[in-house]
Amino acid sequence: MAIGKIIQVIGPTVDIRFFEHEVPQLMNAIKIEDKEKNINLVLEVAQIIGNNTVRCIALGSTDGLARGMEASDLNSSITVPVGEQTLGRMFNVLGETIDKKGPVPYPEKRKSIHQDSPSFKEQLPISSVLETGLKVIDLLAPFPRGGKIGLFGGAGVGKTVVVMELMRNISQELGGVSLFAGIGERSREGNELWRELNASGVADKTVLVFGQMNEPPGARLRVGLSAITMAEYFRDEERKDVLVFIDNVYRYVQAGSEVSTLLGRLPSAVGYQPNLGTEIAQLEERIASTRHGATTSVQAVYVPADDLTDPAIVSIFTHLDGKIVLSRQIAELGIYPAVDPLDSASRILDPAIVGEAHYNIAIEVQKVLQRYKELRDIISILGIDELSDGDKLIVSRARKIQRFFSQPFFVAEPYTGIKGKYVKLEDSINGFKMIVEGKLDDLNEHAFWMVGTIEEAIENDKQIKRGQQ
Amino acid sequence: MDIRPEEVTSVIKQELKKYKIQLDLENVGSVIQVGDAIARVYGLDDVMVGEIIEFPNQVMGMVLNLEEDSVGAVIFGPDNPDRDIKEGDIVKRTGKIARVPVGEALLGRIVNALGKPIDDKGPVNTDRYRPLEASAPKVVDRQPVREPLETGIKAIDTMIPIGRGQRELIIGDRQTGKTALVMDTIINQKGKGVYCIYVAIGQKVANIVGVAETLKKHGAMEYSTIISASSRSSASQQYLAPYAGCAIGEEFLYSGKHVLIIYDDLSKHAQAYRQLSLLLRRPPGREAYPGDIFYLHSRLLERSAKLDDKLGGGSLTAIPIIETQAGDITSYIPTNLISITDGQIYLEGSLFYADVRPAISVGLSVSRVGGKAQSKAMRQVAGKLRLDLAQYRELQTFTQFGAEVDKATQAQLTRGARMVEVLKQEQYSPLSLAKQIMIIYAGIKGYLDDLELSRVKRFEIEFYKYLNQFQPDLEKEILAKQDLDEVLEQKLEQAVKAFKNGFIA
Repeated sequence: MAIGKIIQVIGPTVDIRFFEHEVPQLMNAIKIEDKEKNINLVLEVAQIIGNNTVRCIALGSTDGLARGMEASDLNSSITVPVGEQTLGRMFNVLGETIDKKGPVPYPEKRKSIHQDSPSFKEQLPISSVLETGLKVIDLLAPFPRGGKIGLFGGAGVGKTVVVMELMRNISQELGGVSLFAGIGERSREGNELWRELNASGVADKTVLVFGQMNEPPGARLRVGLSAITMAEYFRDEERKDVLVFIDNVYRYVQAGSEVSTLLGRLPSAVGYQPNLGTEIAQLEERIASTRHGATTSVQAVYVPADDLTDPAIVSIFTHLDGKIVLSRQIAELGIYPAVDPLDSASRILDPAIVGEAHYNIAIEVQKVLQRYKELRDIISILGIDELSDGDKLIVSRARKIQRFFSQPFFVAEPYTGIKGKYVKLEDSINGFKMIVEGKLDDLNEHAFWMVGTIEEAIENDKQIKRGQQ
Repeated sequence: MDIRPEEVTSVIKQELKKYKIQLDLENVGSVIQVGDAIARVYGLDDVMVGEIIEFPNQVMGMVLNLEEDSVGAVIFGPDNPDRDIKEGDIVKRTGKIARVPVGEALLGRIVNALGKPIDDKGPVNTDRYRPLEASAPKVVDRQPVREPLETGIKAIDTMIPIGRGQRELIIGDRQTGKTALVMDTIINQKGKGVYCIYVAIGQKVANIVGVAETLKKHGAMEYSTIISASSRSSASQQYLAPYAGCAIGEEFLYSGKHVLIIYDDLSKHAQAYRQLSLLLRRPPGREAYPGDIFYLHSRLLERSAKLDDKLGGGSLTAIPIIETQAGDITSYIPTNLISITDGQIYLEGSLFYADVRPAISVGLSVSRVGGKAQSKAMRQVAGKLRLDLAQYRELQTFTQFGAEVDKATQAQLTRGARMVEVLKQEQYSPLSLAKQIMIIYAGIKGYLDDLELSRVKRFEIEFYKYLNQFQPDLEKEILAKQDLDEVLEQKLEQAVKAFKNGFIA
């Protein structure tokens, strides 16, 4: 085992000098241990910078490091445990268990977190729909089985809640194994998820991997790869279908940009790392469905400063089969999930895949909403009375559709006190069909708010009208 | 006088021995460059990242960069702390990572970012210290938020409830009542067993003096500590102050107590860190902030938690404040903070000037966890209030352009306007949860609908008086039961009716 010495520490980057011919390879893991100072740190070699020196990214805190301390090359990249033994457990970026239930039973059964992505001939195209039980998603951005869907949204518009609701609704239906990767999000949410999984008894089919926002950038940069490595093993070796939830992919990019300049790279647009696209591909390309098994994935994507043209967001878009955009303006109206119906889309909203009926209703709904959007400017200047009767009807239908998009969530029950609702795809389509066909023009728009199926809206309307008399 | 060579050599030997020890212990370096409160030091071979070092005249600094042949450090102190430091000055190690004194001795005190008292009460008597930087409680060491942190403010406790261990951001333009909200919240903690820590970052000294006076006047200093890193402190101290406040809070947290910490405000904290980073020549990103600006705040706020019962069940609630420009909550630092915290209270300038105070924007404010911590009674009356009001706001804008409204919509508008009126509240007048429940009950059950808007305030005041005089047990009963069961609801209903009859007449 080669031993080197620390010669420089700047934030999370550490330079270590080795003897000639003993310089570690790129991506090798390096360990620094000091019992007296209570330091036990793993680093990854990021660059060889000449003079027998490597520049490493620390996966833990660098506080307390001093120049001259010894560091040993572990002669392999970072590895994580894989297989059955990971089910029901919670891991950190290094594959260490963090659930206080002791180590995994077969610690030597491991894989390196750096793997090649599946090749052209191994990958499969997407061709069928997965029902999610969420009206707005099922109708306008249907979820592809074996595909990847992204939930884009600025801060505090409800990304995590939608991820949790999807996790609840689809993991049972799909069967197989679920894996949740928490990247740079709140530890509190990690705790709540962990408790919930244990309480609901599905924990033994789930793997949790966390590198949350309290951890240094190195951990947040690598934890995604650690999680994917565990998922790949289920897909490739055990031939199982895998469901991968990532909250949040943007934090992976962000961690990369935190260390990038300290590694000596020049900053690119908006201060991001120059290798932004490559870095995203290294993670995203590994999340794919192959001949061995399907990987279905839900990914939350934080949109910094509500700016959908941010270079990182644009780069992530290209890797996904569907995008669901959550909007602050809609959340402000009290409509949850705050999905922007005109900005969300899915590759499989195609008559050949979803069928003519579904497709036509979706297009019709979008048309009504688009027209309302255009009319809103006119209304705000001239008032609604200046509109033609036809346009007035469109406005009233659009407002009903908007409200009907809202839906009580199971995972939000403890906060709202309203029971969650799962709506079957055909019920969703039927409901929207009745609205656009004008069968419900007489109903009060408030009746459509926070309901499941259209029958509930009709019932609500009766109650409201009864209340008036 | 004889000179005995043996004696001389032994003395020299002794001195040499001492000299060596001294060198080992002190491990010194010398200043090569200094400017903008940042120094580059040669030597200090074994110094650690984050260690405190000492310049001449007791000026302190902290090591940030360890480079191959020099060390980069920031210098602490108010008003040009680096003026007396010269090239070649000796710098000594202290062997200590930055830390602050902690414990009960800090209560009632005003200290700087390093825990040094700046009030006139003498030294802080404690032998306990905590490092400024500490790791956050792990995922399994936490438990969901379950007790309410009562602010005494109707609009918050009913619609955007804060739980103990939560992080709730207060965000808004200058002069929209941000600090007023937290002052009320601190004052309302009296007698509730919650220690309060107020961290002032980059504010002018007069403001901080004002805060201390207010807290003292209301008897809130007894359970509070103020950390002051005013705008006259160096950027490095403004950068460290929140971590110092958090460390002081953690001492209580880990001994099973409840703590409320206010960071006022983190926009200035981000600016101080940007200044340091740019002076240390780290490359700028969005809005010229360095790449790790998110981590700066995430690692701080993740240290707030509700601990598992096995660890004492203590809690550290954080209320960070962010100042926006022209109401833009979607700029970089505000959205970063929103994405870290468990909700935000957005104060809107237009509401403030329309005399809706506290000027809370209902649609954009949310609490992601507090609802769980609300009592059942509160949830019964206020569960849907926030969403209803958000819908009311939307309807109001939609109908103001002369749309025809049906009866149901008109009723919604009438109710909404009354509820907005009910939620208004003066500063320094916190209300008990029971009183809040009773007035909200009167509102949502429609007892205010036929009152003129201008009489709603009057109704509320008289209602409390009436309750105190004729139904003093009702408040106690609601507080004790925490649940509006049928019997209690009937009692409440009768009280409202009885009072209203008298009020109208």
